[in-house]
Amino acid sequence: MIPDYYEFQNSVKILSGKNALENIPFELYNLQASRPIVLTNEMLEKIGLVQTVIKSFAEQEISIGAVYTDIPADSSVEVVNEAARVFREQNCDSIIAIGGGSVIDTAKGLSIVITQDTDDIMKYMGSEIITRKKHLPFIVVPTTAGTGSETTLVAVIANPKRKVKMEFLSYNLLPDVAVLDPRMTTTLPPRLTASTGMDALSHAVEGYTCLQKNPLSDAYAFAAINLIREYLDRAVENGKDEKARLAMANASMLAGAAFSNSMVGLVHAIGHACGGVSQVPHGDAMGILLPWCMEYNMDKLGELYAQLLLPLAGADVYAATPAENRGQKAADTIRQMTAKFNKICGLPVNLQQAGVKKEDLARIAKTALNDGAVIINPKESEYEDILAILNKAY
Amino acid sequence: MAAARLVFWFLGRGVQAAAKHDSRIRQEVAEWSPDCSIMLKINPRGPVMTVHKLAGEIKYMGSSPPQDPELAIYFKNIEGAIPVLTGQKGLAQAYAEHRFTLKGDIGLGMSVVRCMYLLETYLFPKFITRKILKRVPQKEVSSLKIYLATLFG
Ligand SMILES: [Fe+2]
Repeated sequence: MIPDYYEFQNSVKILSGKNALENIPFELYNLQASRPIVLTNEMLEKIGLVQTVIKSFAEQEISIGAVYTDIPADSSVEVVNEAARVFREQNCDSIIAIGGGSVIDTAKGLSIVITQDTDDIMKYMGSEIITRKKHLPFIVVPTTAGTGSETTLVAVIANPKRKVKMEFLSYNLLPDVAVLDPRMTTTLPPRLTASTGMDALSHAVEGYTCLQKNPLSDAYAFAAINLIREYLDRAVENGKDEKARLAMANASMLAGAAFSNSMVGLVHAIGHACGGVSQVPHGDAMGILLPWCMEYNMDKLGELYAQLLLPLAGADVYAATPAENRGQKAADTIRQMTAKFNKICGLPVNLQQAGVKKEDLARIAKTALNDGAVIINPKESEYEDILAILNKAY
Repeated sequence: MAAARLVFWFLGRGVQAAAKHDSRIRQEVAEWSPDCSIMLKINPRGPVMTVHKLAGEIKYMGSSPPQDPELAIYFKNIEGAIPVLTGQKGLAQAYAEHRFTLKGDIGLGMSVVRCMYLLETYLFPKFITRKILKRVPQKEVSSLKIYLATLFG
């Protein structure tokens, strides 16, 4: 299927594999930078991941301008501004972000402050408002395999004073380089590996089915799901399996590129609301909600879900399933994955297990309705529809 | 261009009218910040349309661009705007196709999109809304009532 019109950009250079980290100095040189600020968080520094990266710079002509570790689990405008102060004070000329979604979002926020030369990033909120005033070399080293932020055009940064989450969408927020090195994710515990893996899966499934799907995002989504089918189990069961880790890092990156261009829908709208109202970790919410939302969308998207059964379950299952059952089988396959991870590492299979209170469902539904992703979902959903999904998933 | 200007006039006056008669639009507007203004512009040379929330009610302000709109929607060009303004393409589809940029809070943008959907169910005949809306909402009053309020209200 070819859309009447679409746009696509994934300009991120990917370094994937053993010793990828050691190539960062060359990439900095290639981008004409020599004094990066390293953004990360305290935990990653404590377990030695940051040292692993910095050690890989040995004997190279790179001087690190600053290592900024004070990044909380939710990126906020204060943190961005503080990092910008350090960046300017230390005369940095580039950014290396080592971490998960919040570190990478903070780095994108920092990039806005520096390139737009502003103290108020709020002015740049919205979609395609940030133009490329100057180029700030930006390298990302993901330490989880799920958010896909290394290949997305979006950053979400909280503004606690005004009690809003600011959203920034711009192709100019795409990093120059993403470094996928298996050493970066081998310490991720099984529960978090499963949870973030389900997030990557939800990006691929929604990326394959949302309004702006196109041949390029389709290819990325398909490739991501193939890798998840083959390697997510392995990465959960044996964290030291470097091949599985590298594969999942790739799956996350591919799924990120898919949904960055075709956008996410209902699963994310409800998932964000579960996080906002009841503090359900994002990946946990994805694993629970994905099959229920697929069933809700089935009359509209069944054919596309049927196509996804091939990468989700493999050729034998696909061939053995009658065409009219494939869409449902795809949802069932995902439900089985979540159930399996529940046995292995305690990933919740319903919202109750995830700690959601029954009386919060109404508030979650109302919050979800205001999430931009609802509008991108190909099937319309109103308050009652969302509440019904939440009750089923409870 | 003249056609686009006419449609802008209709949308602006229409939303002002529909906000009076449709409880769902009224509810959306109630959640906007007081004194909030929203601008729609076709780049590069216009036309421009502005609505302004004043004392809890939505007012069509014509074509003068406000000082600092809380939300600004800029169509990249007239070719991308026309299918939307003439009811051939839904706003969500146009957003997904990057036909317009959006300056401000995307959450507010989504509220505006929902208002537009409701407005379109009154202003456009059903064979059009069935094509551009994923689900056609129920009307709370007749289209005629909204039309009359748009023209003379
Ligand atoms: Fe996600």
